[in-house]
Amino acid sequence: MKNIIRWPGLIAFVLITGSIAAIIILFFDFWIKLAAQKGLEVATGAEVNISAVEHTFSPFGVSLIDVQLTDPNKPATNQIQAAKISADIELSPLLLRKVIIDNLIVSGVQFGTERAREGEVFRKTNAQGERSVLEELFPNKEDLPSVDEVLARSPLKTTKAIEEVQAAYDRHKEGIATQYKNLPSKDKLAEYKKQIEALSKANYKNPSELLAAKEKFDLLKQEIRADKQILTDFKDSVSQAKQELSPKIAQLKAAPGQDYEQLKALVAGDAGAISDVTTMVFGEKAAQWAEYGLAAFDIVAPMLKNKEQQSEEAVSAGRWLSFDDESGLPELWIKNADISVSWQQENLLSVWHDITYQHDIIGRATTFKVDSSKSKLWQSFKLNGDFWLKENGILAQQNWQLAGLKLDNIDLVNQDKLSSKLLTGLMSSNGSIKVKENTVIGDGVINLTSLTMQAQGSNKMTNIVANTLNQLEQLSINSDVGGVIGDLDLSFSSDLNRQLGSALLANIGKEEQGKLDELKAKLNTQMQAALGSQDAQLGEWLDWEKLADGDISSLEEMLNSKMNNAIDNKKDELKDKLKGKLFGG
Amino acid sequence: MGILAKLLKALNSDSSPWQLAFGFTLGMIMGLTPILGLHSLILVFVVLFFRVNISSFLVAWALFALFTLPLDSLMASIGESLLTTESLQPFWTALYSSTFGQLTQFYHTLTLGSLIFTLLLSPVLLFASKYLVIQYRVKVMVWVNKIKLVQFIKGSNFYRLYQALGE
Repeated sequence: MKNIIRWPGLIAFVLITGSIAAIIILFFDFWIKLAAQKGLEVATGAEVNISAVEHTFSPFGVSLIDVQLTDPNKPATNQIQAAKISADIELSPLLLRKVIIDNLIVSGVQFGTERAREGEVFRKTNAQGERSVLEELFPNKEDLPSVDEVLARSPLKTTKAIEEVQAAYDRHKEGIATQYKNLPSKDKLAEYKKQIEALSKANYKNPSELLAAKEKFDLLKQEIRADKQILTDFKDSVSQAKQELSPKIAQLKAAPGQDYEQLKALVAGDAGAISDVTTMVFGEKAAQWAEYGLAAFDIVAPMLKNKEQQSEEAVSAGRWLSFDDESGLPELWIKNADISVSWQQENLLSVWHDITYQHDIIGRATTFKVDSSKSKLWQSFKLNGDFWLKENGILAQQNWQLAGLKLDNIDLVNQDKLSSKLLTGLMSSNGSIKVKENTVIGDGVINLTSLTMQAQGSNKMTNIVANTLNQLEQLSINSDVGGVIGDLDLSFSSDLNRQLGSALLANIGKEEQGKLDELKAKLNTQMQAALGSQDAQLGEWLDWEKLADGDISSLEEMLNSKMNNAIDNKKDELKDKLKGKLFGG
Repeated sequence: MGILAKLLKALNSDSSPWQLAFGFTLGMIMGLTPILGLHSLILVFVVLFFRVNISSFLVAWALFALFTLPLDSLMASIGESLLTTESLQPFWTALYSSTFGQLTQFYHTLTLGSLIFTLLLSPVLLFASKYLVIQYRVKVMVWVNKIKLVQFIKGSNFYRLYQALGE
């Protein structure tokens, strides 16, 4: 026994393991920092920086100081920055590579802060680039289109109406002309009349003559009926053509007026600029507010989803398998979390429960709630929602109500052609969104009141926009939320569009007015030219229709006439003969 | 280089062939299995506490670590097939639920697969290396000692230093 045991070896073992343990403990904060940075970088797809790490062994807890998560879409800014993240972690599940956090406290959260240096991006998201391009929306005066260019590129109603009238005329022209040629002539109709008169007035000597005349009369009637049908068909065709052409001609007469109104807006500025001005002026800021409001879906949920995908990927050197254990624990589960967002010296506390990416295991959704009563900056702010990460995407919903948020000195647009600043104002907003299989549907209203704006333009058009903005006291912006998680699509509309449209139209200059007059004249000429020929043709068709009407009535009359007199006379004659033979009279 | 010299010294010393063979075998297990795990701690304890030849253990560890790259996928697939065998599920589930099981990390395919692979290989390597040590001492050692270079090394300060360290 003595031969096989090496007692000094035991001391060496203790020394070696002790040294390893000492090194681990000594550099424990460093290992945690490395692991946390790597884990968060996998989840966000961009560089993560942690200034310092602290830990306690009993209870086991870790604190991360000054955590900065680079925005993968804007590497010069942080998507999220947190002053401190503290977590109480359960030790035993760590052996199963499961991170179960009983309490997580995140304080001093800020969004979109500038980074000291640009962060590295490992995975690009599919988010779109900048939303509004001011240069495209407000062209320079010299960029305004000429009348001919406007006429060439605009879908004019006049041109369309001319084409439609021409097409309708072409459809009927040949058919009506052919039918007109085949109509029975006046001579033929007169001949019918003559023959009918002759047959009905003749004196028939015997019944056989009468019978022959009757047969002839019937044959004549058949011919008349056939000709009447030709006339009726012709009349129907003309009626059909009239029915189709009349409204189209009316449309053609109205089209130049409608085109004029539309082109007026085009010459005055740009229809697109007027309709997008809400997005252009308020969109960027509103999108930023929405980004904060929808952070749970647009930032946290995709991070968790990325983490899930990462854990599902097979590691080259073997993989970790899970077996149904009694605890049924997910790989990551933050049971309770208090996340405090800092904004303009105010703290906004959000309370979260059950943060995980394996909701099916814990059997409930991640919930989050903000219920902030009056503060220096707002009267009240309530937000609540939940999300559940399923195999086919995220299932989630969120509602919010914000009242009396004070806005102060906010840059809205700052570009060469137009700059605008919201000096003071109050904002209220409410809305809701739902997410099903990553597809987002929702809407909200942003009410801005007690507004003081400061806007400045650099050309005629942007000066008009700036003046309108400077006079703005209140504004209600409707917002639609769409798209998919990670790439939300926000659209904004408001009464500002109409106000700016009117202001732009009221400020049309001499040059533009000259262009408009030129346009009006061109359109009327086009319309008159088209209307002249089509109107004349329709008039001719209407004359033909009247003629056909007269012929049809005269044929109708002929068909109604009968050989009654001749037959009656013959009947009386036969009766007299019969009486003479019977009574010898 | 120093370890090789130690190995050479061990081969030429009075160390029993079993000590050397166990060193080789345990070194092979250490080299082919993932270093982070309870099994590594046990292996180091066995090597240090029992009179296993440390030089042969270290040489074998370094040598077999070179084979991990080509063998990893094979060993991981062994672990995968064992861990996914239906009849063994109750056993793995029980192990997974226990603290000991969690410490062993046997629910990692490569850890389990490489351990099973090396344990199966161990008896073969143990007896083979013992046989080779004996053969070396009988046939090669005498011849090696006669080589002038070896005589020169043995006479150098460098060798004496290693010899002193080993005592």
